[in-house]
Amino acid sequence: MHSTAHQLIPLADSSVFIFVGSIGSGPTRGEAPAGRYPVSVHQVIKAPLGLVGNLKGTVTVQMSQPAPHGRYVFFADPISVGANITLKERAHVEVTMLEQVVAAVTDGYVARLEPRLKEAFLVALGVVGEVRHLTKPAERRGRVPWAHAPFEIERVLKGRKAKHIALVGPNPASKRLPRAPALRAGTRAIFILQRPPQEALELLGEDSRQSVGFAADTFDIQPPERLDLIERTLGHGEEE
Amino acid sequence: MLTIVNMIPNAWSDEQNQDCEPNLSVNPANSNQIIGTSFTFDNPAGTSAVSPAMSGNWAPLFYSNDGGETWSLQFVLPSSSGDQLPTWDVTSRYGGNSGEVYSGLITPGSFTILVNRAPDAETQQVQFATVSGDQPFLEAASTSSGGSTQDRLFVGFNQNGTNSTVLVFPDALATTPTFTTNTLDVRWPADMPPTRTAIHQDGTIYCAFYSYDNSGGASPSSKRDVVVVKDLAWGTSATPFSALVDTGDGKVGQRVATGISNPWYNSNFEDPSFGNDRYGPELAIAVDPRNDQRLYVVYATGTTAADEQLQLRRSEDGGQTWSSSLRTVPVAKNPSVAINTLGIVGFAYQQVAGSNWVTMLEVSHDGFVSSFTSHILASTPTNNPTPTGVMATYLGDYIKLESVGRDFYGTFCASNSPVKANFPSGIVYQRNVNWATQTLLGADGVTPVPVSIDPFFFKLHVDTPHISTAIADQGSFGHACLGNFVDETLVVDNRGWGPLHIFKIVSTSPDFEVPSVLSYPLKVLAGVAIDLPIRFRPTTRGFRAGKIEIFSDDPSSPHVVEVSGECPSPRLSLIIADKGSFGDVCVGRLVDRPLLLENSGRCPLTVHGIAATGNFITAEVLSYPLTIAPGTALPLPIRFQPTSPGAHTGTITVSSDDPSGPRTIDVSGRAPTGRLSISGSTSFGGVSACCCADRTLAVCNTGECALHVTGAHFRRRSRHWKLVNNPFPAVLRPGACLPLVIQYRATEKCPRACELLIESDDPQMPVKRMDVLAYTTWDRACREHCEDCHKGCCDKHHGESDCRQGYPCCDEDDEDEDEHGAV
Repeated sequence: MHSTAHQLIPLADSSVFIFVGSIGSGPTRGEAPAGRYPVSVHQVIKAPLGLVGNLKGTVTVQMSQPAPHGRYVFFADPISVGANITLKERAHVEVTMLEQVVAAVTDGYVARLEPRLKEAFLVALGVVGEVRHLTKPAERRGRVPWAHAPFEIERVLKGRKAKHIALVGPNPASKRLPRAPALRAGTRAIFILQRPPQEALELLGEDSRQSVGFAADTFDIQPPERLDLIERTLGHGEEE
Repeated sequence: MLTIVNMIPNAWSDEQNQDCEPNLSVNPANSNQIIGTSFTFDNPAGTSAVSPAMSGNWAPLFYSNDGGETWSLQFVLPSSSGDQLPTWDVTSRYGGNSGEVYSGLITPGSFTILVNRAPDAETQQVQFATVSGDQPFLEAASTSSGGSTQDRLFVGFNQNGTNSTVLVFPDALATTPTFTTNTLDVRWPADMPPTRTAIHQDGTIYCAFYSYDNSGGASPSSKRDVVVVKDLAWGTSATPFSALVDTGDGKVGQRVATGISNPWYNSNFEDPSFGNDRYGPELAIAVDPRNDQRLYVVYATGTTAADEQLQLRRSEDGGQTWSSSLRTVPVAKNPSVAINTLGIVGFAYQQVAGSNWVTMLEVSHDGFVSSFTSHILASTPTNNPTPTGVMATYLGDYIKLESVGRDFYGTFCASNSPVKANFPSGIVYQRNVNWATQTLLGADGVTPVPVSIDPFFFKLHVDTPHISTAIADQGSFGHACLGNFVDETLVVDNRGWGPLHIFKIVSTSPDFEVPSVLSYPLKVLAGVAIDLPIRFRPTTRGFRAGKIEIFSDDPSSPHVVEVSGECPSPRLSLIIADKGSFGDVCVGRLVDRPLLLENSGRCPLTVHGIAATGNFITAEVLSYPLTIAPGTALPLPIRFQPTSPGAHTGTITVSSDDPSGPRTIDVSGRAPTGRLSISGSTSFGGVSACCCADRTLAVCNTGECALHVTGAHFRRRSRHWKLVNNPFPAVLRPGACLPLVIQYRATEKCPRACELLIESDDPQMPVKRMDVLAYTTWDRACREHCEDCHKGCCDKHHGESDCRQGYPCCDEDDEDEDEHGAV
């Protein structure tokens, strides 16, 4: 059991699923032994994109320890997905701690976000345009296949206001730059941008080098749904 | 039966990622358990709105425990939250009979290969080795030793992105597995990414890789060789993977193809002219589980998308020499080849056909020598979903085909666009789909989901044929003579459940001929029988036996039918009357007797020649050979024509194809002679002087043949003796006589014997000598006229003579002389 949101942050960060569910719809009464049990999901607090809908209804949970029938907040990871979803419980807390859990999730996210935002020269919501390679096919083998794309900005959250900027990044994804996400045309997201590596800049014209951003980590591309939270984290849209 | 299943589970229906570059492994100990991999995230929408990213630390493995009918995701592969891909290149394998699951993957956080394991597909894997490199490709097999099982694990990869290398784990089940790192290319230290391994259960390990053929290494202008290496002891030989030495340069590793262009460097990563994918390092290898010397390799040639081709080639001698291309597939990639326990070769690949990617499975019962069967697994758009360039590849750099027992299992990736026509061999989706509207639906069964790339599982169940044959009289063809034949029908029935493919029908004996087949294999459907004519055409005589061997995909092939037949020999018998005696034949005459040449065998007799010795003559035969039908006889006249009197013998020799050799028969004959017989007296007694007396001899031939009496004369000429009307020389026929009159003139004073000679060809008495005796009786009158008589003028006293014996005569002097006039 965790009594405070702060104490729950590591658990909340590492758990793929956090949800409120009930044990008790199973065939046996009393305490559920360690094993797999159906759990009715009432509220999803954290789930990967595209899996929120799957948690509606009942999921199977591999309990780490016996628990009395009742409603809990579950911290869990996926075990398997077939006709149904089976999760492995990391921990569960009383549902009365829901507020702390939600806070821990947010706090954990913000804790990861803050250093990225701090390092960024531009944080903006926008759409990636057509991706173009900066090197010929034969030059891409054995090195990062740098590409660039226009980034049409809808809203600047941090940095100089602009309508557009250029993005550089690998395309396709490169084993030599494993954390940097590949540029993908049509992506609409919040980009937390840094200055590109020198290796990439050298492939650009002098004029282009000043207005180029680079998403160095997958965490630097956040879904639009995070806009409010990021704004809050930035202090209501820090502007230069 | 072909089954194709979209592997995305139902609960993953929201999935819209690019799940490409699949791989597959079937648990050989339980073929219901199958694992698969692809670039699959732990969330279904990783690529939908933001960059691909992992939600948690475990990437999924596809798992089926019902033989591939349904699939689940098991989150067991090491990954990391926030990684932009679940893994980089990844393959997983069942270790063999152990059930242990192994994986080799490039961890997204670094350019590092992790080799992992778990006791089953549902347990999170634990890393037990790590190396630096690219494209790990696992193969594994189990062995037993000392009552324990070892998993032989082979991890082919491109070490440091340059060298084809194989990690060999002699016992990957060990608590702390050890391994050796085997760099394969002895020529140039620069190879393409794929290093493929093929395992034979006897410990023979083959590896194939692409070697750049110069020190320049990987560059757009580089050419490349396809090289195969081999180890004979599970990769643990003293000098591993050196069992194959190139016949050209004498170095380790047989170069299967050399100087191939390198489109890999010249193509776009997702080349619109190649179905929006990249191409070049296509490579596959497989070894026949029934024959460690028989293996197949597939590689790619060409310089651009326009002339790119897959080449399927075969070696029958353990990789030393290679066939020409058995299959050439243009504009294709991702080859995979497997051989099942029946020797059936499966070949899977993906080919650009117009605006579609066509995934093909070809199956050949004769090793692609002359025929194969094609199965279109999928024909899906090359641009739906729209290529994003995120993965560098659209469908991935490999697919997988493998065999377990007689069945083929495989996986490929393709567009999941729910159009039934895209899957002409049938399809099963687990994920929600509206086939009518050709729409993917999310987990809620309502929300449309964009088309993406999915992994597909396929299984080709190879029903076992079972050959059964029937032939009359237990395969006995009876008898056939040399040069003739007898046909029997061999009924070949397929009483199994799958089609029977006959690859070859051979006879172990030249005496038994199998039908000519223009094009193998012959296909016999289950429950169907065909008639095969088998011909007995003996090449030599005697009892002939052989075996008809039918090579097919029946598991118990070859099917053997024992056959036999008899090629009887002709038998020459010679028959002649009277034990070959021709009797008596006079010289100058002849007699013909028939010699019967009888063929007492059951096949025609061929007579090549007949010879006779002595005074026996065979009939003139204008043209040999003579043929005598079975059971018949040919009378052949033999002539006895003695040239000399006496007994004659000879031998008649008949040469034929009677295996006992020439036959001989002795003949004989006799040539009798004439026989001189003389009757009558040659004693005259006393004859009155001056009288003549005659005696007549009958000179007769009492022999059987003519007697040539050449003469009759007195040994000495004498006036007292005279042959009157000597008929000789003359020929006396048998029984004939001629008189010979001897006259005595009684004028000699003293009696003197004279010798009569009769000469003939009587061999017993060529000269008959006879004394003729007479004396002169000097009576009174004769005494009175004695002088006259002596003087020879008895005539004047004839009237006075009183010839009491004889008659009066008078003649010349009585001086004796021989027949030649000598006194």
